[in-house]
Amino acid sequence: MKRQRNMFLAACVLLLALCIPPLTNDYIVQVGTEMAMYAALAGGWNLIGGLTGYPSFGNVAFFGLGAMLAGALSVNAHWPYWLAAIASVLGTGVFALLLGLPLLRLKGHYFSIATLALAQATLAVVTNTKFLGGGMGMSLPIVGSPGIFYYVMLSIAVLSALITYLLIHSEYGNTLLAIKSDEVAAQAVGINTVLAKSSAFALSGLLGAMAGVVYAIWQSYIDPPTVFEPSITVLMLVMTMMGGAGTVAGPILGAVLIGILTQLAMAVSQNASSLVLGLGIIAVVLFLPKGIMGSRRSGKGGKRRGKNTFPLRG
Amino acid sequence: MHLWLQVLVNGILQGGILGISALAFSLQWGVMNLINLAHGTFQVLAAYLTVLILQHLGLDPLLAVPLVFIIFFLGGYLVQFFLINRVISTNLFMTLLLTYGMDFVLANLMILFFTADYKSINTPYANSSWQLFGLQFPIVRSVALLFLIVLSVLLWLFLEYSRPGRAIRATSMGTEPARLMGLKIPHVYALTFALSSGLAATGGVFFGLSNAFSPASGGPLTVGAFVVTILGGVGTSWGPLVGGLILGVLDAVGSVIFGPTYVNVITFGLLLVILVLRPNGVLGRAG
Repeated sequence: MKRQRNMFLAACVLLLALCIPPLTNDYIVQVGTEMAMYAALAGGWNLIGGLTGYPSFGNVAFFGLGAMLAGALSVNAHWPYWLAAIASVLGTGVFALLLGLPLLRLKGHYFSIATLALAQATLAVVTNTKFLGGGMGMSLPIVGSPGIFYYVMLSIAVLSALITYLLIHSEYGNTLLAIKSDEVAAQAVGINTVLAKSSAFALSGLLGAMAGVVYAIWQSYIDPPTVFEPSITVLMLVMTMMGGAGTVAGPILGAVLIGILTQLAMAVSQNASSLVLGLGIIAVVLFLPKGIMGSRRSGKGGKRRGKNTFPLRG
Repeated sequence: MHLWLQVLVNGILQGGILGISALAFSLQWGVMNLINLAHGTFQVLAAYLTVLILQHLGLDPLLAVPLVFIIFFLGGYLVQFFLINRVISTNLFMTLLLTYGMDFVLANLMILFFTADYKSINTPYANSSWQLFGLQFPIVRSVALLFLIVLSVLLWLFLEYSRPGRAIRATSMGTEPARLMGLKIPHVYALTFALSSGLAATGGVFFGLSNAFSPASGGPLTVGAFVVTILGGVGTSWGPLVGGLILGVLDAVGSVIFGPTYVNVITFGLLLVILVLRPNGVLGRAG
């Protein structure tokens, strides 16, 4: 019964989302596109951060690399944009898979900071690579209408939620939850944790890159500092935490709520919106540590790992 | 040859400022397993405070260091006791998120109060250097390196021989036994954070004296402190000194060979390689 009710709710929300472009104005459509983009990004983050328990601080690397690579292939190599987009998404997925192998051996803080460094290193390399546009950024041809980008972003968000749903109800999802609860025990019962974690990281990267390639053609101008902005990662994880990490609806709920809050604060002043985001983060940590959806399926993953493993020595 | 000697000197002296910053970062991390993402923004705030002290009290920045230290010591104690302590025992990811939120709030408050423009601290000695063997020794950076050495020794003596220092070390080895020995962990944690905040602010004064800064300058400072801590090893008394010198020299040499735009590639590339190969630091135990 509960499952049917959830399905019904999801269908209603989707129907409502589909009605936005014909029934509202361009401003709402633009805000909606942004929300859908963040719902997709947060959903991607949720796969590695929420389900697997590896809080990445560098997921913006996939978004940025996806955007810049697609832009470069289309502007500098003159590929048609759809081909550039596919190549960029696949390339970023492979990039995530290969980097996941060494990085996912790290635990706790070390993983978080290594991914933060990964994002900064990717930004630095992209900025120094002429083919990828360098520090100047690049302009893409202006195509489509606001409504089209809204629907494309919305489908990526739906895909992201669908992947999460299918994962949670599959053997593979249980593997990820087992890793989150107790990785050593998961290894002991014969789970190939390296493969499971890396593929979750790669899926997360694929979704990030998808949002990135659509963002690039939507904005029609991109430069590295914008698409590698560290606060994009932070938004992904704050939205996921606020909505409920490890759940299907959590990232979407978080993206919509934070999106509305940001717009309200923007109406007051540009600066106030950043301040509100900061206070919002602190409030989520202090008062909503498990998110609105609660973490019904969470294991013991929330426990501190590796505590006191670094005694202070003289 | 002479150029390279000067580059080496610049790198070593840059290590002084990096090292003081890492001294604070490493202490928090080693004792409480806390990564303070607001670390760099604390330092920028200290630089602004120094400007205010200079403007309103006319107190020279180097003489203002004890005052800045005390203000941040008290502020740090309160922040840890009333804010961070509430989440520190639950989930290490939550503390990361909390300190990031603090960073965001502080940086935006600074924009409101001081505008987003770059500022610098004007002192007669800010841009002057000592000449020795035909090499330039910028005064501020040289004093910073001296400070780093003195502070490292003082911190080591404090942790090794004083009563509160021993309490901090005992807590870092395990909160449960320390609690059973009668230590009040929330106060020990608050003391640790207070000490780190004071040290971070001291580094911030030197950063402000030798660089132009804006409310957005905090992020790179945090990452720098992180890299130095990883290089030197978490929770070692001499790690920040060693790590600071290594990163300072690598950045200085790297920016001459590859050009200044590659400094970030070197810093972050190095961080990734070290994290993967030796997660306990160059001086730490093998991972």
